[in-house]
Amino acid sequence: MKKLIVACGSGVATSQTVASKLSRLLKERGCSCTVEAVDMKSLDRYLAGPDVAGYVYITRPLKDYKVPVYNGIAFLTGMKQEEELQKIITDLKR
Amino acid sequence: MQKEPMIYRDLIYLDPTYTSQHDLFESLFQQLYEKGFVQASFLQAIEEREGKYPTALPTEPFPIAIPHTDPEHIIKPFVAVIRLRDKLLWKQMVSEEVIAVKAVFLLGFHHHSEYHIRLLQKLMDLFSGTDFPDQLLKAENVEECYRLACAEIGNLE
Repeated sequence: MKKLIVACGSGVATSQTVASKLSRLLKERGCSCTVEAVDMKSLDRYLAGPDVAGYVYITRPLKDYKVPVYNGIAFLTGMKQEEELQKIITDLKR
Repeated sequence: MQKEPMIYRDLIYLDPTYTSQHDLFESLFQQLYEKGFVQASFLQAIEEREGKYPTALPTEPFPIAIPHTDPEHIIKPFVAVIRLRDKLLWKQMVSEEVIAVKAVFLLGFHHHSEYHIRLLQKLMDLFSGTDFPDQLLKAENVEECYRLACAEIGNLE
C-alpha cells in the first residue's frame, strides 16, 4: 500500500497529530494510503523505503527529497486543509 | 484509553510579561522544575528544539505557539497555558517567518500516547472557529481560565 511520511523533531506530538488527522481524512475520501509519523533523524531512511508516495512536512524542507512534498501545517491548523488534501488525493490517484 | 490530568491551576499564567522567548522559557522552567514537572535538562532541550523547529502557528483570531520537546525531559505530563499581556515575537513552523503570538501552550508530553495526540488535535480544533480563543482572552482570573481549559482541552472522553 502507498505510504505518506510525516516528520517532526521527535516523531511525537505534531507529526503524530498530523498523521492521524490526514489518515482519517484520506479514509473518509476512500483513499487507501497509510500515513506514518517519524522523527527528522530517520526521515531519509523512511523516504528511501518502498511505496513512499510523498513527504508531509511540518518543519522547513531543507533539500530536494525526490518525492512529492505537502504542507502538513494545513492539517494541524485546518487552514487551507481542503486544498492540500485535494493535492494529495490527485497525486495518489495518478 | 489512558486519561491523565494535564491542566493545572498553577500552570495557568494570565498576562505575564516577558522580554523575549528566552525570558519566557527561563521563567517557566524555574517553576516547572520546582514543581516537579520537568527534568533539569528541560530548559536547554526546549530552547534547542524551538531554535531548530519553531512552533508558532498563524491561527485565528490570534497566533499561538505550541513549544514542546522530547518526552525524556518531562517528569509529569502537562499543558501550561500562558496568555501574554504583550504579544511576543516567535518563529513560525515551516516558514520560520516571525509572527507575534498572544498565547503560548507549552506541551509537556512524556511519552507517545494516543491521548496526547487527541489533546493536541483538540487544541488545534479550538482555534478553528470556536469561541475558545475569545473566552481565553476574556477570562478574568486563573480559576475561570482553569475551568475553561479543563472543559475544552483537558476533559477528553
